[in-house]
Amino acid sequence: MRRLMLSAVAVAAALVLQLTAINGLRLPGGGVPDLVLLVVAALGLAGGPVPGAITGFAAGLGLDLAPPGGGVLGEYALVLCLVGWACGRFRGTLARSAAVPMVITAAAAVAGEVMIAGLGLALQPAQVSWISVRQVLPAAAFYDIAASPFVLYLVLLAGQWLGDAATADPGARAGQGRFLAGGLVGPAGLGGPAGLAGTQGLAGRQGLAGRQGLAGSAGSAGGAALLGLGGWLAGPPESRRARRAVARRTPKLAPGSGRSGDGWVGGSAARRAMGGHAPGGQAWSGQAWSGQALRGQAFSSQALRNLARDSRPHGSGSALRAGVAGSAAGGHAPRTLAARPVHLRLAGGRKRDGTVGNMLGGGRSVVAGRAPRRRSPSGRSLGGGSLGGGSLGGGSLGGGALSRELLRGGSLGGGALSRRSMARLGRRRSGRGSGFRPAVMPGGSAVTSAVKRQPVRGHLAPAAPVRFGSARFQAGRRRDGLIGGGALTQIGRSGRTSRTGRRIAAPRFRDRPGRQVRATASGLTSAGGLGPEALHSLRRQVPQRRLRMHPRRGDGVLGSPLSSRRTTAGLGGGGAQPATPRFRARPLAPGRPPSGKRPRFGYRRWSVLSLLPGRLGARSPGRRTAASRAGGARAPSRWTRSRWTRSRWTRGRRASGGSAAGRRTGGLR
Amino acid sequence: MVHDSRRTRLVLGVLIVAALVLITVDYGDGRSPVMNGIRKVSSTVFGGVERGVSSATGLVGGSGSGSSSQVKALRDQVVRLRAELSREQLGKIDYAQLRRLLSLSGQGGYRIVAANVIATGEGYQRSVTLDAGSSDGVRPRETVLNGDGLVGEVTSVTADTCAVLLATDSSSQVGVELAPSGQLGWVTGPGKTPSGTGQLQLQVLDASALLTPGEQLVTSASVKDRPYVPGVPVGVISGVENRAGALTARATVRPYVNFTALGVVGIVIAAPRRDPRFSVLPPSPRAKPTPTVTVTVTPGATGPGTTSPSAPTAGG
Repeated sequence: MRRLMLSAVAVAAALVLQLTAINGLRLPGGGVPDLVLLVVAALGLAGGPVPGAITGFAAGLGLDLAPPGGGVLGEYALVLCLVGWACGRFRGTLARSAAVPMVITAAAAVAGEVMIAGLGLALQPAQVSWISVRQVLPAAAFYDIAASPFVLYLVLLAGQWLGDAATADPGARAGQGRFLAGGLVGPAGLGGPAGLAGTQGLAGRQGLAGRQGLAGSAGSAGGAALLGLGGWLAGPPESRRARRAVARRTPKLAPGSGRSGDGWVGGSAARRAMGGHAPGGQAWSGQAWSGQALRGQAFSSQALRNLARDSRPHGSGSALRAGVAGSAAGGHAPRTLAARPVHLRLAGGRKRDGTVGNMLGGGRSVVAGRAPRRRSPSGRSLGGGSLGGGSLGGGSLGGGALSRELLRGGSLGGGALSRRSMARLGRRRSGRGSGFRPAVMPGGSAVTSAVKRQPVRGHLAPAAPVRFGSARFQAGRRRDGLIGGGALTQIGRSGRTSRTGRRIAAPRFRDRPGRQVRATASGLTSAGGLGPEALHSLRRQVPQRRLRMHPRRGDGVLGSPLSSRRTTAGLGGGGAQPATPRFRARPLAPGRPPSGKRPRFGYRRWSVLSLLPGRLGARSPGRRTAASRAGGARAPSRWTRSRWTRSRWTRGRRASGGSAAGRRTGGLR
Repeated sequence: MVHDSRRTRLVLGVLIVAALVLITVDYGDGRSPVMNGIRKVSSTVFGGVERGVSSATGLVGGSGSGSSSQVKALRDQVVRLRAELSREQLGKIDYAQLRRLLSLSGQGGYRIVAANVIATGEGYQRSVTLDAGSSDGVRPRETVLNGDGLVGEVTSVTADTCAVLLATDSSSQVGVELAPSGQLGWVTGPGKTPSGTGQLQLQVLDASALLTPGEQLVTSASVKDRPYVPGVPVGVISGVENRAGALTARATVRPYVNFTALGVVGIVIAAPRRDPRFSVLPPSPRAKPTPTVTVTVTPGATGPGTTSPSAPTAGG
């Protein structure tokens, strides 16, 4: 709504200004900057392809219809629609850099001018002569280029201003999780993201922390943006190595995840849901949202309510509440929970992550963490809809700080991982050269009540070790085996055993010293505290080859102690075991379309936009990828739903028919 | 790069198709009743906005700058100025323009409605919007002029605004009459040019006509005086292209009007009772071109010189 308003106002202002003032200017060369074109480009850049296209169309139509008119109706609508759409495709650049958007805007403006001239030549040969095009077009393009940075800046500034205004409004859309959780408070004067994160969370970004804090506390929109720009110009204050070192040292599992889709995967899932891609109404409930998903300090209850409302696409009240992610607690959530909704990982949602989640969700036989062929009912139930890997991703276990409260909440909160264990985790975790991609957990959903009631203190609950273990220690999302695994490793290392006397399985990832960053980053990504640098390094390290994960039993799951000795042996003991490749690289199945899902870790540094609120600031591909990486519960896109995947899903759905968990899964997919 | 989702593609496709449909409908002779309605409504809306903005920003009038004197003095001034406001609302420039406009229209006997330019057209078309509309008696296809000469033609009218196609637009064609000789021809606009005001192209029907720089042009009467009333000064011939074998004699014309600085203009709502012929033309430009004529004529004296006696006889 706000974005709509911004677009409408900006376009209208540009249009009137263009017609009344700018077109009448006498500039050398005969051309004038096309303000409307630039505004459309900037709005597209800020909003995305669809809003860009719509904005462009509307603006172009206005330009066609506005009084002096005379051109063919629809001419500008066509051109500006294309410009807006094309700029929207580059929306992600806004979060990464300041220069690239300017270049894109300028290029789009020039392209728009050329298109306008070409259309004019084609449609109105009497009025648009080649001579005048040749003479005027270069000048117009030049003025466009010259004006583009300013227009872009103003548009972004306007967006920020609107966002700030909206923060005071409790009814503001709460979907802009990231900013609310992290950045938003900064401009609001709460001391910036770093201050908000409070504990360790953002310390990993130490190199940038100063800038962020500064920008955040600057309060005024312009100041923040300028500082962001300044930060861009100044570059990162520390060397990458130093920052990485800091990142390695610092526990990233902050109590609150800083960005959307982090850790509490629900963030991303919620967005999906709001975007109409909701896997299914069953997945979400207002309870989950209002209760646990969001951290108390970042959201007002009103906002939470709104969010809950927003996030129920097909909302049907209490029916939805069953089996909601993280809602096992029945909706009363501890305030101390992390800022993100627990993600509903009923099933591995996306391509390549399918393994365990799929199997579980789809009613297949294998439960992660158990012997694949041991198809135990309890495993089923757990996998189908019980404890979420996402919550586990918090790694609370590693630090031994898992509290009953947290557990009851149905999500094991992040931030409990101790610094030391994290460091160790980082050291320990390493993947094979092909990339560390542990199996995906079924995760995400509610802890069953039985499990929920188990007191847990730092390690496996005595009472229901099997279920608990298999449920809780599943790493939550793809590539996050780390956290769950890391915690496990800790336990394994310290020789701790479960009550059953068996060793606790740790995920088997080969030890390889020196690849810590990736491991840490991976884990942290899932947990949510990952800083931009870590992400960046992760991006650099994760190979782009696409692998299909083939979990073996015991992979990354605590449950494995129960499964077999062999597994346990392979996992536990301080890395003695080796490095069997857990994942086979396989060529992609034919017919699987490319990309779209390739993890792209976008944040290199903070730019102007990262300080902006809401849609403008929060929806960058970087974050979105983080979200989808973390989140999974995203409805498969058109590409994802290739033959292969589809058949797999459908099969799973059919097979799963019986249990509620299965149904839920089916709904999800 | 954000990869397009199905929705994105759908939306984009729909919008593009919509734009193409609009272009098609409007292009094929356009002016379908639907399009006319749309245009009319939107013109009314946008025109109103333009009016408001234009008057708010004082785009047209170069009103005086405020002095930073004391409050009390200013208060007194406000009282005084308010009284004068109705009379002196127009700025000095506007006043001068209006005076010249009135004198010109008085000379020619045109009944005019004075108007301000409130918006300038987008793209390669040369058109402006005026703040006078049908409520002021303006109808489409009427002549627009200012104190210097011909500005253009009214193309569309709403209640309070009208759009004017400038004479410099390359789709504009104005029938003209050469001042001394009475040769008939027409003038085409150059379209959008770097300088803003380009040279008009004159073509004279009589291929054998002798054109000389400095000759003045006035509009010749159109049928029922639409779109152009007779006698409005258009410009001065600035250069002659004598092409052998051309069907028409051609020349470039420097317009009297500065099209980049249009302010107060007049819309002729009633044609003069009798053709003013050349009476409205400014007297001056005679003197200046004369020396240049002698200079240019000299090299070609043998050629055109022989034909020059015959030209007047052919022309009139």
